[in-house]
Amino acid sequence: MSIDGSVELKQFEQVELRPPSTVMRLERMGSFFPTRLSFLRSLLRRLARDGMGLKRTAFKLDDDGFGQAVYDVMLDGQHYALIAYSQALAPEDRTDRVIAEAWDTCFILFDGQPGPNDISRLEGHATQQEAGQYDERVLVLSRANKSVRLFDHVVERLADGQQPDAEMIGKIGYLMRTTAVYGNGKFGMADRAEFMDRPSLSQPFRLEMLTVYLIREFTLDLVNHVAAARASQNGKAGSAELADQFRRQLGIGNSTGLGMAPFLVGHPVLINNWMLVRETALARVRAVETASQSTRQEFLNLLQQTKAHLQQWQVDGQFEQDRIEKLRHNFNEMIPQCESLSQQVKPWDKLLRACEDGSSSLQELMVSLILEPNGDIIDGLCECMEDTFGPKLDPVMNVDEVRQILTRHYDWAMQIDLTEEDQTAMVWYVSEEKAEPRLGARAKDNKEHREMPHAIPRKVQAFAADLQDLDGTTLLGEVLMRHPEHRDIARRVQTVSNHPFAEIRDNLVADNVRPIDLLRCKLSFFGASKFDPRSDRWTRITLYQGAPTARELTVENCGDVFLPAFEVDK
Amino acid sequence: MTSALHISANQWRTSVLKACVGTLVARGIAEDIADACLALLALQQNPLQPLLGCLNTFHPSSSDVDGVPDWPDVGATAHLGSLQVLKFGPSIIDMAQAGIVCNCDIDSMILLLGLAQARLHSHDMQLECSRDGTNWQTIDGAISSGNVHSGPETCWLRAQKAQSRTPLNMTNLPQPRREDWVSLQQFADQIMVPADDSNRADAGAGLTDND
Repeated sequence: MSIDGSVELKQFEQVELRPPSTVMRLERMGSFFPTRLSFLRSLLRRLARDGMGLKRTAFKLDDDGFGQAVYDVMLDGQHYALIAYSQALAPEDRTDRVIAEAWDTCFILFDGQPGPNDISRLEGHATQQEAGQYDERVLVLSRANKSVRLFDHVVERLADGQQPDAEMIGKIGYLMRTTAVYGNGKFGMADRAEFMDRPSLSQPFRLEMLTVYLIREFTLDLVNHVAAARASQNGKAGSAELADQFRRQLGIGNSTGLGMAPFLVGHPVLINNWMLVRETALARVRAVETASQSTRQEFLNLLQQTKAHLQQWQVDGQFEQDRIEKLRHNFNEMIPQCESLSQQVKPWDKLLRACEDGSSSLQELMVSLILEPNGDIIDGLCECMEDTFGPKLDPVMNVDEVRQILTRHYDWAMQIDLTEEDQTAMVWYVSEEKAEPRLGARAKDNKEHREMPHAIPRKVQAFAADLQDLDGTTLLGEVLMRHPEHRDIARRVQTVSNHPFAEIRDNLVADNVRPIDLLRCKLSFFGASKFDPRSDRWTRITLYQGAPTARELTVENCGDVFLPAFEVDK
Repeated sequence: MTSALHISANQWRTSVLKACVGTLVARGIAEDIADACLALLALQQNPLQPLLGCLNTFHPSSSDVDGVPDWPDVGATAHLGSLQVLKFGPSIIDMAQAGIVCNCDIDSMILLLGLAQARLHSHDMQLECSRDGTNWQTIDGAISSGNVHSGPETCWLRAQKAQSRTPLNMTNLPQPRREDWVSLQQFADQIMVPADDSNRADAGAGLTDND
């Protein structure tokens, strides 16, 4: 702010953005790593800067850890509360699928301080999740299942006065996995628009990220509580408390499937804004003439941390493990070159260029790495990731102008040969089971009339065909009166003309589509790490692994979250 | 347990969109109708009964090229005849936005005005409406007057001077009657594929997942 209170817009140099034709490809999006722009990272910075005043205001759990707990935080003078409901769950009922109907724990993020009546009233709904009924005081709804293997191990060790096995902690990385985190008006909860004017909450998925952070606090308290009860049952004087180093190494797992994929197609302006911020940040960093001594040192430290992270990143799937091992090899080979290039003029640009012949994974890892020590010139961009208006249609545009947009932004879609069966082999649809999105073979059965609108190249080609013989001065509105079936793609095409990163430039109904790429892209914006795909449509990840817990979070350490890596004592 | 129904703006929008798509309304029109319903709700008008009426009588197969009105020159008056809002509602607004004075008999004037009101919130423009082509009033004035019927009416629309758009106020929305909401969900459910073991596997995940 200037002395008279007006905002001074600081100008930053930047190089040309990478084009959408490079960035918006599924294979590349499926190679994204979290960055310091990711939503959990910006939340941690905010919490550290403003404080959160976390208080555990209720903790009514039995010796097995079943019952209720409430955590109160204050942001911008406003109270928010995580209400946790923990219950017994038979092993055969424990599934991460969205079609599950019971969970180890269920959570509500409440707007304000809930009274006893609120807590008991909401229990019957929260434990039913999607089948429950909520109102505008409920901001987020979530549920989580234990990693039984690790939870039991930690309880046993602590109850015995010992700390858990470090390797097991590092490998699994969480005591619980969330299987859904719902917000923005789902099931009658508060709409996002209702709290967008609260400064702490104006960024995308802010409340969802806060909820997961508080769930993490609950899981850490829960495991200590159960261990203490177990020690008492075993006649011991007391249990050990989980050590700070392990508290920090335990994040929250998440199991995510196809439900996340349609989001990226259905919110083109929002996705554009996320991508545009990421690419603008990269363009700013690449324009930096020289790295300061401290920035360079931070980068060198990050290289070692990343090396350790890649070494510790192990998954069960062979395809993904091969990919990780190739990345690990290529990255380790590059480290000496990174150390040298970081001393030169335009260091960050040179580092990215040095990866140009490498895989998308290597390039995108380097993007995250070079953004990391440059927060002073990019963190402010996090304020530009929201979408307040959405797509809109201009019916007064003429056909010539529409054709120009198609030529400029949809050449990739026009070039796909849709007469080839493999280009239309798949169909996205919604199952009646909890409205779960699914992806099946088009030929298998009759789902086509219920197809979700993800076949963008097919829609674009049909639209272009109907424009072909028209006079160029014809208004789009007139075309759409005769062809209402094109109204949605016309709106999308016009939107993309102003939002060039809004469209994924691949065919999402081709037989070789890998939805996991969509999932990884979105999850990287959340700040997820340790991607562990269980198929090409479903992945586990961890959130907040390595992040400071609430009691140790400070302005100094809030950024210490980049790609978790831990020392393992054997 | 809360017994009163609380429907958020997001639920309103997604349910109306799905119900329209489930009834085979063109998706782009369904998107506009969903936004129209939000615009009406923001003015404390419940759009559900007129919408259900339109959905119940909508027949996609009756659409043919011969029934499409002509698009006149800018500045002219278009006498469009009898039209269904779920087929031509957004196009009528397009026409008015393009500077054509529109006159039609519409099966739901309140939904047509909702479409007009939604357009004002997404574009820098102003529209006016009239029942007789003589006495004009603002769209929000007409909606808020409470004199617009849910059934068929004659409607005139024209563009007026540009006006800066303002966001919708989506707080304290009217709530639907439970039976109307259930009816809407029945239309929306038509987009769902019945579950079986075959498509359950299309989710690509195992049926259990313990570790």
